[in-house]
Amino acid sequence: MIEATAAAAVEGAAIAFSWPNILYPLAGTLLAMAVAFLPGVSGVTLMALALPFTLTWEPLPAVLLFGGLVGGATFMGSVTAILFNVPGTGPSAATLLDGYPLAQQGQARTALGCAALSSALGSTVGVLLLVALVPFMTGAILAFGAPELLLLVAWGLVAIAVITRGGIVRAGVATGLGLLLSFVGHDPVTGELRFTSGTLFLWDGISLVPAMLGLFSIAEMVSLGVSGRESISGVGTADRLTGSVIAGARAVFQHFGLFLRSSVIGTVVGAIPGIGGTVASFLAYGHAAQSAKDGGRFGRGDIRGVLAPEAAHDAKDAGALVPVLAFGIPGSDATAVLMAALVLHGLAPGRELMTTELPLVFALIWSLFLSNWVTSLLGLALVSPLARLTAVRVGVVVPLVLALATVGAFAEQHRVGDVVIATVFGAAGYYMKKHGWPRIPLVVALLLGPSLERHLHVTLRLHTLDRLDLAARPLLLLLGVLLAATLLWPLVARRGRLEVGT
Amino acid sequence: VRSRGEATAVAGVMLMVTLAVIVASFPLGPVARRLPLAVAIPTLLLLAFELGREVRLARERHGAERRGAEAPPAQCPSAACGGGATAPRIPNVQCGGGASAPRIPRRHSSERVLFGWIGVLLALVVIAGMAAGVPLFLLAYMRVHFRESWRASLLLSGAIALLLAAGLQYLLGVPLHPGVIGGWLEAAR
Repeated sequence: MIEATAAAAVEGAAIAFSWPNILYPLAGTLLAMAVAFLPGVSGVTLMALALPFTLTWEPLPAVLLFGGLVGGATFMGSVTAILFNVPGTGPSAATLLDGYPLAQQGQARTALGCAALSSALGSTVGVLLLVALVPFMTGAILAFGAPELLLLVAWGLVAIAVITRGGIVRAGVATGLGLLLSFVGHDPVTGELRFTSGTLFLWDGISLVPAMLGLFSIAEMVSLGVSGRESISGVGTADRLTGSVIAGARAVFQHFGLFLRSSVIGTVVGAIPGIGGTVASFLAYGHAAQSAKDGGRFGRGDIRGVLAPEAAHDAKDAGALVPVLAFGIPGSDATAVLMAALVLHGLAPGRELMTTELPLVFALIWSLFLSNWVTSLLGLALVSPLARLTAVRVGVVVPLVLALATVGAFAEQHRVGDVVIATVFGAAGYYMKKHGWPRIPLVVALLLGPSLERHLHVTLRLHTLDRLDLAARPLLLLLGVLLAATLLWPLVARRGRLEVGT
Repeated sequence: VRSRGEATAVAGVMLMVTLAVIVASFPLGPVARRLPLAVAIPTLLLLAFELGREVRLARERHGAERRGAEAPPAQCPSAACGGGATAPRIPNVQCGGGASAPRIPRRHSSERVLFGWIGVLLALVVIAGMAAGVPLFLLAYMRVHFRESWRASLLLSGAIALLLAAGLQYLLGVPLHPGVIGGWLEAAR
């Protein structure tokens, strides 16, 4: 089995890296990178748009192109998070916690350099782990039922609340409000409408893109506008920016253990269907903050706060392919579109794909790997011009980002109501920031709320039917222990600090 | 004091939202309201705790302000300032080391102006549509508010107009909101 997998991996590499096949992932990567800068048009939108154009293609070029599209958008989301405090994707929200403070200190080059290298190496670890674990992972994934997924989502939410600056009470409130906002719309079990005030617009709930654009980009621009700063970094010319790409890249090797652990977290969590990269990124960030022996400057510009989520974010791309390819269970929007592309080309996910078509599966994995490296290498080459954006005058940045945020809020679902939602969230985000309320737990709860509710309903149903045997679910107990430990960690850490203080 | 009052208002708004969710949950069925209530009640308790803290801090700050008002004028400790100049009784305002006039914070008025401009953007999008409203806003905001050069303002608004028309509408097929005027023109055609 292992020999067959290794042989298929080599064959897949030969297919993906041969001429002219290599052009497809390269084209996908460049397209995804270019579109990542267009407001409201994510990599998923691009994949959906590309779907009809590839219908007449052979399966191999289509698979390679889609691998490139999946990988290309990942790093670019982190660029906007570091430079403008605007997470391009959900998982990038963890990167902005320390990436943006570094940019504000004029060290955008360091943060971008670290993010680029960490992403590229993280994807490498993810792919290597995937190649090594493909024969065993299918069994592990089947161990995750609704109760385990429920605890995993709850663990993600608690970890984010615990590690966010601003106090656990405020983080708890932000998480609660995010969850409440995620309940707007249809109830997933009964279909009953909740908290819509009779508005048709709210039937599908509050969209994440306008909420994120409001909470981060609009709020950040208002904050920048009233701050009296010359630019995001506070310097008038790019020559006065400090930090270097080399320093950022060196940080990955200085904290290599943390990088490896974060990559493993990303691959494992990414492989669990329905969880996605957001939990992976935040768990890696939480691990970095909790394992820092020196306490660190997390939330105020610690390079480890950029390194860990970036490694996990890119490593998860490889892991996320396992449930799609093995069971046909997509873990995210991007993998759902990817699965649609596979099915449309006659490649049904499941046992047959994982046995007879294994070289093609590996060609997809290598295409993703290539895409992640190309994105990061191009990112490294573009670090200096990108960092210069943090020295652009406020009079240019504020109007431009406000205009782009408005377009982005509208572009996703073509509704003017979403622009209003973005504005309301912008005002809320600004006052939350001004008075020290954390915004990250709110947006992550808004993202994970539907998943939490769905898994809770299934778990309760299992309990009602008396089919929830805790003794037969060791993973559930392990996750319960991890959840409790994360909850108790602030108390233990506080007591430790008091003892050190005395 | 005003900032503390604003902080209290922020916590108060959150409390009202949570209360509204609790009230709106009662007419729902038992399954649909289960999780919203399970989340809203602890959130409400945490908010009540936080609001109490904010009110207490606001009172303490107000008391300190009143005591400060009854005390003789404070002396500026900065040698650069003259060492004995009378400092203004404005909370959280530093003398500025040698500046004769105190730096009065204008943060609040700027917030209003900024939110006003966001309102203008929203109105322009609704009335003139996305393709015309966003570039118009960019031109007006950069030129009038930030006093950027005509060249920079025209260049950037032109680039945005191009991005909207060529990038979004033509290449990606994203239909842009026509606005009230666009709707009229469409109807007239």
